[in-house]
Amino acid sequence: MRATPSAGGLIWLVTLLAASLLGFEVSLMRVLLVAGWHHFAFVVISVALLGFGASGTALYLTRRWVVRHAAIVLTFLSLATAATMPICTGLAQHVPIEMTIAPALLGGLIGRWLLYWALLTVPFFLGAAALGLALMVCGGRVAVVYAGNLLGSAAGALAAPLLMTVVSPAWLPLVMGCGAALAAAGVAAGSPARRSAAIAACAAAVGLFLWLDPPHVRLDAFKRGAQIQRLAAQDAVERVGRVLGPRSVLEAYRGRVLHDIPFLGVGQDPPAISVLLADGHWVGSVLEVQSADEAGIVDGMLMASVYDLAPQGPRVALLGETGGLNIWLAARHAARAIDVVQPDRRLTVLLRGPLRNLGGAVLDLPNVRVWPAEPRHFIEHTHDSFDVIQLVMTESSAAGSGGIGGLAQDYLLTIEGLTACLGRLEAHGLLAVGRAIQSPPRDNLKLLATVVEALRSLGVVDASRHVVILRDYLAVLTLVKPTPFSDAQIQRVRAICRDRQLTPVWFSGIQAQELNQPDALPGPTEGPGDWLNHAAVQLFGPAADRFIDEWAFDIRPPTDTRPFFSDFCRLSSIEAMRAAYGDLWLTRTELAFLFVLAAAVSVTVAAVAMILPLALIRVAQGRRGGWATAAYFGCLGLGYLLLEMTFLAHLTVLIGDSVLAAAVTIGGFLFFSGLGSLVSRFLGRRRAQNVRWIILCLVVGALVETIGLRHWEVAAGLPVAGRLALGLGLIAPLAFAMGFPMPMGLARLAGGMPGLIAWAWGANGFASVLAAPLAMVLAMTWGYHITTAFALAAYLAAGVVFGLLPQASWTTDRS
Amino acid sequence: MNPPVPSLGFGKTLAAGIGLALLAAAAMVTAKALPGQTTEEAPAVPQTPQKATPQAQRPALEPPAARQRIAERLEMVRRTITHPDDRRTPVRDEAVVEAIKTAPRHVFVPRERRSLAYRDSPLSIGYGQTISQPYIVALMSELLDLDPSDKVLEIGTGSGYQAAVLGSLTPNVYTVEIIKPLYERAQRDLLSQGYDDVHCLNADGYYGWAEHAPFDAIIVTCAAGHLPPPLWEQLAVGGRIVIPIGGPYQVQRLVVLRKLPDGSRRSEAIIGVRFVPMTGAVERTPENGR
Repeated sequence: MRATPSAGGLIWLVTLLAASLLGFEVSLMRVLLVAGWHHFAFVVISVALLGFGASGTALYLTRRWVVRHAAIVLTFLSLATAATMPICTGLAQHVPIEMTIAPALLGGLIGRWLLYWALLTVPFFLGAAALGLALMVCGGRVAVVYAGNLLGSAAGALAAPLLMTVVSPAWLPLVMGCGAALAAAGVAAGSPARRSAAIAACAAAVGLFLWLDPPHVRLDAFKRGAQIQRLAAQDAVERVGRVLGPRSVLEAYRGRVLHDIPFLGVGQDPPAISVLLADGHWVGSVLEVQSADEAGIVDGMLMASVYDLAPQGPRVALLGETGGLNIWLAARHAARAIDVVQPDRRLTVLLRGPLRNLGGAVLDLPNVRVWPAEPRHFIEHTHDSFDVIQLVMTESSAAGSGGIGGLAQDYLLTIEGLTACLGRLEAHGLLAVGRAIQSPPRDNLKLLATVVEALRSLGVVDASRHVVILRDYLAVLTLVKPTPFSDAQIQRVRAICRDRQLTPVWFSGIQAQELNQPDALPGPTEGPGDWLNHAAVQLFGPAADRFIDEWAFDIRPPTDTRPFFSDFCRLSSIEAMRAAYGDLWLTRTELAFLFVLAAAVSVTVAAVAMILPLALIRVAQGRRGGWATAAYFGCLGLGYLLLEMTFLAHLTVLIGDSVLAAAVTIGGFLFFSGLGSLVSRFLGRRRAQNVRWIILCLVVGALVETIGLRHWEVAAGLPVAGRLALGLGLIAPLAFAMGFPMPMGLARLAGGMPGLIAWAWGANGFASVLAAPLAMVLAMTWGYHITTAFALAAYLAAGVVFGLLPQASWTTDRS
Repeated sequence: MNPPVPSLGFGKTLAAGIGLALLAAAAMVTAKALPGQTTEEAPAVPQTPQKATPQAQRPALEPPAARQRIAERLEMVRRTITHPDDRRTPVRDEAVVEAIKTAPRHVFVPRERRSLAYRDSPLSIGYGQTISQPYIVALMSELLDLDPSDKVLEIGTGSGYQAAVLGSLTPNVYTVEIIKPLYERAQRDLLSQGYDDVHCLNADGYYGWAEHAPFDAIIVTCAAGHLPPPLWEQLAVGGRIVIPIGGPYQVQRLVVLRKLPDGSRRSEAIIGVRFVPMTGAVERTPENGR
């Protein structure tokens, strides 16, 4: 029996295992997004990936034993990874955690959260341990084996989204586990009979578990999807359509007990509707009507006020329209052309498929054109001008509430995005944005601050004459014109408020007695206005910057380098919140940033807790090279992920499709890094200056590309394939260079102190895990350019430290 | 000039009084013995609300569980409702305060959470619903401004706790819950605690409860993103609707809508917490809240 697998077996194992691990990570993200909320999924993934780093510590502690029994250990680890992917994911569904924080329950929840995270960490720990061990025993083939790791990861990153189109999220962990089981076949120790028995035992264990507990995803009880599932259990609603995909799981339900029509004023009873859900979140409603005449209910929507001011027969762009409510609204006001922009093609498939006879035919009205594109991309590239542009995707009242959307990047609600929208309006056109009222105000203030900056970028001096803000007791409608509102239009606004029982918040010349009625909101004691009106006065005036600095929430206008509209957290306001709200302060604070910060801190603490004792032991025993190893490989892990996430953000804008951008970025970085790793073995790998030159080229190249990406509009005329090719072309040379430092460092260790490879693997793993939340913290606080700066600084530090790595001249193996 | 009242002898007066008392006792015993009295099929209260003088309070209910955890409950009321130690506005309505002191919140909380029943926090009751923070329940009850003769509709029974509090303020409480397990549990808990005047219905609350309209007050705890037109129609002129707005474990504000004689609407947002959303030198004035 071979104690050490063959090189070919190792490459087979590493490639397949890396593919299944990364595929499992992407799949787990999908599962968590269905089960819960975006920020929660982000935190869980970040913590679960601690398994990568922890595996390095475990390998280091047991290095002599595992190397001696490499074949058996690799077999066991691979099969265990395969089994634990579906089993641990399934077990985690039974842990009674609540993803929405109840302050009174926080103490009891922490223990359950730790269990939840621990369960999800296990497959990553086992799989990463197998990869690390393979690197430890591959000897001189480390560059090839590491390249297999990267290429396999690339394959997994690309395969997972494809599988999501046909495999339900609940079954994805099992599919990924099959990949890990196949990996074991390449190195399975013992006779063929024993190998078969081992694999069969693994399959039997998984099969038994799945028979007892069929794969399922437990939705958070507070999601709209969970509520609708309960209604379905009572036969009050029925599901009429479902579409899988990497972007989300789309579902459509219909039933007379569904009434989700936002911002609808008091009026007639609405007709039956179908509700559209994406990962359990409401994203739209479809009126079960067949003509505009039957859709009179939409005239009671807050958005209908737009058409009271818009020109006759307007040309309308609905950015982010989903179920057709606003299409009916435009149609009822004789819009001559309606451009519907919706990046998720599957919504169109749903409406034109199972919902066709339930109101979905709204997309086929003669003057409606549907554009499958990201709204920002559409606005930047269209040659048409519009009388009305409505930002439909901002109307969800869930956004900005409790941090649910805080991590989401929105390139339309940035200064540059709104400037582009205003630039596509006719001179008399209107930009319309509806948003739920928050208390205290957040979203609508941030929106107004962004609008003001967008108008200024177009040369407008007095933005106050270009904005009208109206509201009822639930939502605010902000209207913006490239040219000032005329006196006649202001009088028309007054009439609209009277007729529709709306409360004016701002228009030029508004009087004190017009404020805050018929729907009163709190405001400053001096004057009758609400806080929204107060904010408008401040933001239009010279003290705008000071007002923004002093507001309790972060209402700084987002930019393309910091596109986090729904992040409102201000750490400086937490004390005031606690004093005002007591135990419930946490629910009043936007959680996303706090979650990311908590993830970054917890990962750092965990990393230190796992590595520091070993480092101290090494120092006490007089062993050298540990700090340099940890620093070098840690910096590489940090720099790689930070740079990758920055490029992901930039390419999302360049390519104009978030899912394609993720596939291109993650897959491209891994693939070309893998090629770089393969080529690295032909360099004088132990010569420090080679590595330093490569890192220098890498840093310069990243700087040039990052600056160049800020002028992505040069790719405006390219089709999707062209933008994809451009994106890959930008990634290729950079990622190729990024593939060199890691295997060159590993090779140096292999020649000097091979026992430190586990140490290096662990440090790289921890740093990679830390990079994700760190990237978000940096981007949300200062912008992606700061994230890039950190990444490049990490690479430069690695270049400096490389020369301190142990090498072959260290005659004693004191690893 | 009124005709003189004929005078009965002492013995006949005493006999008449004893007889009336016996009849009343028999009626009460009979009413409690009948099952399902708080359902639509067999209401336990007269269809026509009894008239009462303004400000008159109902005879205090005595739920059996009210004798449990009294100290906790009184401390909760003092610390979070009548004399809060943070910036929230105290609730002053004596009838509401008394109702909160009486209502055994722990009965309406799932068994595994009962140790937290008197914490100043909303709690999950399952099925994606929460039992509101006691302060919010008190505040909403105060905002409803109920007379004992008022008829109140609650959309979203949930745990039944809010309905129980309202049941101490008026005998005319109607509550609708669409989730059947929640409806059954709330109904059981309300009955077990003697809130026989609370009428429960398992139905879609969007359509209110037309058979008992108009209502003087309505609480809507589960909004569909707009005020359901049937509820507005079922609201009496001069009536008020209270809507808590916020996500789970949040109630960021309470909106009170009033129906004017011409059918139009006036609303006011009540935050209940004095929080000026400006830091630094500008923060000087209290919030223009309730």
